[in-house]
Amino acid sequence: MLTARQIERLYDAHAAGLFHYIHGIVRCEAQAKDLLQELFLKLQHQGLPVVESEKAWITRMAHHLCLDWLRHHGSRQRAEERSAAEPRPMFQEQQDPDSAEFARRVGRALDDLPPEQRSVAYLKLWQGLTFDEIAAVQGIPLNTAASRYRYALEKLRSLLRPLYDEIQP
Amino acid sequence: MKDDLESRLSSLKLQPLPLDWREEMLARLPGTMPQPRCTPPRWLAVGWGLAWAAVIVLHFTTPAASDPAAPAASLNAEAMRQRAEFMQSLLALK
Repeated sequence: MLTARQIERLYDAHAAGLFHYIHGIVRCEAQAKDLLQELFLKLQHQGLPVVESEKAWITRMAHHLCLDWLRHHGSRQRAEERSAAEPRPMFQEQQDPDSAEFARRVGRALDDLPPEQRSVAYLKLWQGLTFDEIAAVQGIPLNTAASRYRYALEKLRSLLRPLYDEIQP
Repeated sequence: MKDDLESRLSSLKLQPLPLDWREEMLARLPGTMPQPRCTPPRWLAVGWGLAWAAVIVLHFTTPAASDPAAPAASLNAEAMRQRAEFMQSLLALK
Protein backbone atom coordinates (compact mmCIF):
# COMPACT_ATOMS: atom_id res chain seq x y z
CA MET A 1 0.00 0.00 0.00
CA LEU A 2 1.36 3.44 -0.95
CA THR A 3 1.83 6.16 1.64
CA ALA A 4 0.04 9.49 1.46
CA ARG A 5 3.25 11.16 0.29
CA GLN A 6 3.79 8.65 -2.52
CA ILE A 7 0.21 9.09 -3.71
CA GLU A 8 0.57 12.87 -3.65
CA ARG A 9 3.71 12.61 -5.76
CA LEU A 10 1.96 10.37 -8.28
CA TYR A 11 -1.00 12.73 -8.40
CA ASP A 12 1.20 15.76 -9.02
CA ALA A 13 3.20 13.95 -11.70
CA HIS A 14 0.44 12.20 -13.62
CA ALA A 15 -3.11 13.22 -12.70
CA ALA A 16 -3.64 15.86 -15.40
CA GLY A 17 -2.25 13.67 -18.19
CA LEU A 18 -4.29 10.71 -17.03
CA PHE A 19 -7.45 12.77 -16.73
CA HIS A 20 -7.19 14.01 -20.32
CA TYR A 21 -6.50 10.47 -21.54
CA ILE A 22 -9.51 9.08 -19.66
CA HIS A 23 -11.67 12.00 -20.78
CA GLY A 24 -10.63 11.36 -24.37
CA ILE A 25 -12.08 7.87 -24.09
CA VAL A 26 -15.19 8.22 -21.90
CA ARG A 27 -15.96 11.76 -23.14
CA CYS A 28 -17.61 12.86 -19.90
CA GLU A 29 -15.89 15.08 -17.37
CA ALA A 30 -17.70 13.77 -14.29
CA GLN A 31 -17.07 10.18 -15.33
CA ALA A 32 -13.43 10.86 -16.14
CA LYS A 33 -13.01 12.39 -12.69
CA ASP A 34 -14.63 9.38 -11.02
CA LEU A 35 -12.42 6.99 -12.97
CA LEU A 36 -9.34 9.02 -12.04
CA GLN A 37 -10.36 8.72 -8.38
CA GLU A 38 -10.85 4.98 -8.81
CA LEU A 39 -7.45 4.72 -10.42
CA PHE A 40 -5.69 6.39 -7.50
CA LEU A 41 -7.62 4.21 -5.05
CA LYS A 42 -6.44 1.15 -6.95
CA LEU A 43 -2.90 2.48 -7.12
CA GLN A 44 -2.87 3.09 -3.40
CA HIS A 45 -3.93 -0.48 -2.64
CA GLN A 46 -1.84 -2.25 -5.27
CA GLY A 47 1.28 -0.17 -4.86
CA LEU A 48 3.70 0.63 -7.62
CA PRO A 49 6.01 -2.13 -8.87
CA VAL A 50 9.49 -1.38 -10.14
CA VAL A 51 8.83 -0.64 -13.80
CA GLU A 52 10.76 0.98 -16.61
CA SER A 53 8.16 3.67 -17.18
CA GLU A 54 5.92 4.64 -14.29
CA LYS A 55 3.79 6.78 -16.60
CA ALA A 56 3.20 3.94 -19.08
CA TRP A 57 2.34 1.54 -16.30
CA ILE A 58 -0.22 3.87 -14.71
CA THR A 59 -1.66 4.81 -18.10
CA ARG A 60 -2.16 1.11 -18.79
CA MET A 61 -4.17 0.85 -15.56
CA ALA A 62 -6.22 3.86 -16.67
CA HIS A 63 -6.82 2.30 -20.09
CA HIS A 64 -8.15 -0.89 -18.53
CA LEU A 65 -10.44 1.07 -16.21
CA CYS A 66 -11.84 2.93 -19.22
CA LEU A 67 -12.42 -0.31 -21.14
CA ASP A 68 -14.22 -1.83 -18.15
CA TRP A 69 -16.34 1.28 -17.83
CA LEU A 70 -17.22 1.31 -21.54
CA ARG A 71 -18.09 -2.38 -21.36
CA HIS A 72 -20.55 -1.78 -18.55
CA HIS A 73 -21.91 1.65 -19.26
CA GLY A 74 -21.95 2.27 -22.93
CA SER A 75 -20.20 2.00 -26.21
CA ARG A 76 -17.61 4.33 -27.66
CA GLN A 77 -20.27 5.67 -30.00
CA ARG A 78 -22.41 6.82 -27.07
CA ALA A 79 -19.32 8.31 -25.49
CA GLU A 80 -18.63 10.26 -28.69
CA GLU A 81 -22.21 11.56 -28.70
CA ARG A 82 -21.81 12.71 -25.10
CA SER A 83 -18.68 14.65 -25.95
CA ALA A 84 -20.58 16.93 -28.32
CA ALA A 85 -22.67 18.08 -25.37
CA GLU A 86 -19.70 18.48 -23.06
CA PRO A 87 -16.85 20.22 -24.78
CA ARG A 88 -13.87 20.61 -22.46
CA PRO A 89 -10.75 22.56 -23.33
CA MET A 90 -7.79 20.23 -23.38
CA PHE A 91 -5.05 22.83 -23.63
CA GLN A 92 -4.02 25.73 -21.46
CA GLU A 93 -5.31 29.12 -22.49
CA GLN A 94 -2.87 30.96 -24.73
CA GLN A 95 -2.18 34.68 -24.50
CA ASP A 96 -1.23 35.06 -28.12
CA PRO A 97 -4.40 35.11 -30.32
CA ASP A 98 -2.81 32.99 -33.07
CA SER A 99 -1.68 30.38 -30.58
CA ALA A 100 -5.08 30.45 -28.88
CA GLU A 101 -6.80 29.85 -32.20
CA PHE A 102 -4.35 27.07 -33.04
CA ALA A 103 -5.03 25.36 -29.69
CA ARG A 104 -8.79 25.62 -30.25
CA ARG A 105 -8.47 24.16 -33.73
CA VAL A 106 -6.27 21.33 -32.51
CA GLY A 107 -8.89 20.49 -29.88
CA ARG A 108 -11.61 20.40 -32.54
CA ALA A 109 -9.45 18.41 -34.96
CA LEU A 110 -8.75 15.83 -32.25
CA ASP A 111 -12.49 15.47 -31.72
CA ASP A 112 -12.81 14.62 -35.41
CA LEU A 113 -10.33 11.76 -35.20
CA PRO A 114 -11.50 8.19 -34.71
CA PRO A 115 -11.13 7.38 -30.96
CA GLU A 116 -8.39 4.78 -31.56
CA GLN A 117 -6.26 7.27 -33.48
CA ARG A 118 -6.98 10.09 -31.06
CA SER A 119 -5.83 8.12 -28.02
CA VAL A 120 -2.62 6.99 -29.73
CA ALA A 121 -1.88 10.53 -30.91
CA TYR A 122 -2.51 11.83 -27.39
CA LEU A 123 -0.16 9.31 -25.79
CA LYS A 124 2.57 10.04 -28.33
CA LEU A 125 2.30 13.81 -28.58
CA TRP A 126 1.28 14.89 -25.09
CA GLN A 127 2.34 12.02 -22.87
CA GLY A 128 5.60 11.38 -24.65
CA LEU A 129 5.20 7.59 -24.72
CA THR A 130 7.09 5.46 -27.23
CA PHE A 131 5.25 3.19 -29.67
CA ASP A 132 6.37 0.22 -27.58
CA GLU A 133 4.81 1.77 -24.50
CA ILE A 134 1.63 2.74 -26.35
CA ALA A 135 1.31 -0.80 -27.66
CA ALA A 136 1.69 -2.14 -24.11
CA VAL A 137 -0.77 0.39 -22.68
CA GLN A 138 -3.49 -0.41 -25.20
CA GLY A 139 -2.70 -4.09 -25.72
CA ILE A 140 -2.18 -3.67 -29.47
CA PRO A 141 0.68 -4.66 -31.78
CA LEU A 142 3.51 -2.18 -32.17
CA ASN A 143 2.78 -1.75 -35.90
CA THR A 144 -0.86 -0.94 -35.16
CA ALA A 145 0.17 1.75 -32.69
CA ALA A 146 2.58 3.24 -35.24
CA SER A 147 0.07 3.18 -38.09
CA ARG A 148 -2.72 4.67 -35.96
CA TYR A 149 -0.38 7.51 -35.09
CA ARG A 150 0.58 8.03 -38.72
CA TYR A 151 -3.08 8.19 -39.81
CA ALA A 152 -3.90 10.51 -36.93
CA LEU A 153 -1.07 12.85 -37.80
CA GLU A 154 -1.99 12.94 -41.47
CA LYS A 155 -5.57 13.80 -40.61
CA LEU A 156 -4.47 16.49 -38.16
CA ARG A 157 -2.14 17.85 -40.80
CA SER A 158 -4.92 18.14 -43.36
CA LEU A 159 -7.34 19.67 -40.85
CA LEU A 160 -4.84 22.16 -39.49
CA ARG A 161 -2.78 22.89 -42.59
CA PRO A 162 -4.46 26.13 -43.70
CA LEU A 163 -4.21 27.72 -40.27
CA TYR A 164 -0.82 26.23 -39.50
CA ASP A 165 0.62 27.55 -42.75
CA GLU A 166 -0.88 30.94 -42.06
CA ILE A 167 0.58 31.33 -38.56
CA GLN A 168 3.95 29.76 -39.31
CA PRO A 169 6.64 32.18 -38.13
CA MET B 1 12.33 12.58 -35.79
CA LYS B 2 9.56 15.12 -35.26
CA ASP B 3 8.39 17.31 -38.09
CA ASP B 4 7.26 20.92 -37.61
CA LEU B 5 3.63 20.06 -37.02
CA GLU B 6 4.46 17.39 -34.45
CA SER B 7 6.71 19.83 -32.60
CA ARG B 8 4.05 22.50 -32.68
CA LEU B 9 1.38 20.08 -31.46
CA SER B 10 3.45 18.62 -28.67
CA SER B 11 4.41 22.11 -27.49
CA LEU B 12 0.78 22.76 -26.52
CA LYS B 13 0.48 22.52 -22.77
CA LEU B 14 -2.34 20.46 -21.28
CA GLN B 15 -4.94 22.22 -19.17
CA PRO B 16 -4.05 21.57 -15.51
CA LEU B 17 -6.69 20.10 -13.24
CA PRO B 18 -8.61 22.41 -10.90
CA LEU B 19 -6.69 22.83 -7.64
CA ASP B 20 -9.60 21.73 -5.46
CA TRP B 21 -9.69 18.34 -7.20
CA ARG B 22 -6.35 17.43 -5.63
CA GLU B 23 -7.59 17.96 -2.07
CA GLU B 24 -10.89 16.31 -2.85
CA MET B 25 -9.37 13.21 -4.43
CA LEU B 26 -6.60 12.74 -1.89
CA ALA B 27 -9.05 13.17 0.99
CA ARG B 28 -11.14 10.30 -0.37
CA LEU B 29 -8.22 7.90 -0.27
CA PRO B 30 -7.99 5.97 2.98
CA GLY B 31 -4.90 6.79 5.01
CA THR B 32 -4.37 10.16 3.40
CA MET B 33 -6.93 11.96 5.59
CA PRO B 34 -5.70 13.63 8.76
CA GLN B 35 -5.89 11.01 11.51
CA PRO B 36 -8.34 11.67 14.36
CA ARG B 37 -6.61 12.92 17.54
CA CYS B 38 -5.82 10.20 20.02
CA THR B 39 -4.01 12.50 22.45
CA PRO B 40 -5.86 14.52 25.11
CA PRO B 41 -6.57 18.18 24.45
CA ARG B 42 -3.69 20.52 25.16
CA TRP B 43 -5.32 22.13 28.24
CA LEU B 44 -5.79 18.72 29.87
CA ALA B 45 -2.21 17.66 29.14
CA VAL B 46 -0.90 20.93 30.60
CA GLY B 47 -3.12 20.47 33.71
CA TRP B 48 -1.85 16.93 34.27
CA GLY B 49 1.72 18.12 33.84
CA LEU B 50 1.29 20.87 36.42
CA ALA B 51 -0.39 18.53 38.89
CA TRP B 52 2.44 16.00 38.64
CA ALA B 53 5.02 18.76 38.96
CA ALA B 54 3.31 19.96 42.16
CA VAL B 55 3.29 16.42 43.58
CA ILE B 56 6.99 15.97 42.85
CA VAL B 57 7.88 19.37 44.34
CA LEU B 58 5.87 18.65 47.49
CA HIS B 59 7.45 15.22 47.79
CA PHE B 60 10.97 16.60 47.76
CA THR B 61 10.33 19.74 49.83
CA THR B 62 8.32 18.20 52.69
CA PRO B 63 10.69 17.27 55.58
CA ALA B 64 10.73 13.55 56.32
CA ALA B 65 8.71 12.74 59.49
CA SER B 66 10.02 10.31 62.10
CA ASP B 67 8.83 6.82 61.21
CA PRO B 68 6.31 5.78 63.82
CA ALA B 69 5.21 2.84 61.77
CA ALA B 70 8.29 0.74 62.41
CA PRO B 71 7.79 0.12 66.20
CA ALA B 72 4.08 -0.33 65.62
CA ALA B 73 4.84 -2.94 63.06
CA SER B 74 7.17 -4.79 65.41
CA LEU B 75 4.52 -4.60 68.17
CA ASN B 76 1.94 -6.05 65.87
CA ALA B 77 4.27 -8.90 65.00
CA GLU B 78 4.84 -9.63 68.69
CA ALA B 79 1.06 -9.64 69.35
CA MET B 80 0.51 -12.01 66.43
CA ARG B 81 3.20 -14.36 67.71
CA GLN B 82 1.65 -14.36 71.21
CA ARG B 83 -1.80 -15.02 69.76
CA ALA B 84 -0.49 -17.92 67.70
CA GLU B 85 1.17 -19.45 70.79
CA PHE B 86 -2.08 -19.02 72.72
CA MET B 87 -4.06 -20.73 69.97
CA GLN B 88 -1.57 -23.59 69.87
CA SER B 89 -1.83 -24.05 73.66
CA LEU B 90 -5.64 -24.11 73.39
CA LEU B 91 -5.44 -26.76 70.68
CA ALA B 92 -3.03 -28.77 72.80
CA LEU B 93 -5.54 -28.74 75.69
CA LYS B 94 -8.26 -30.27 73.50
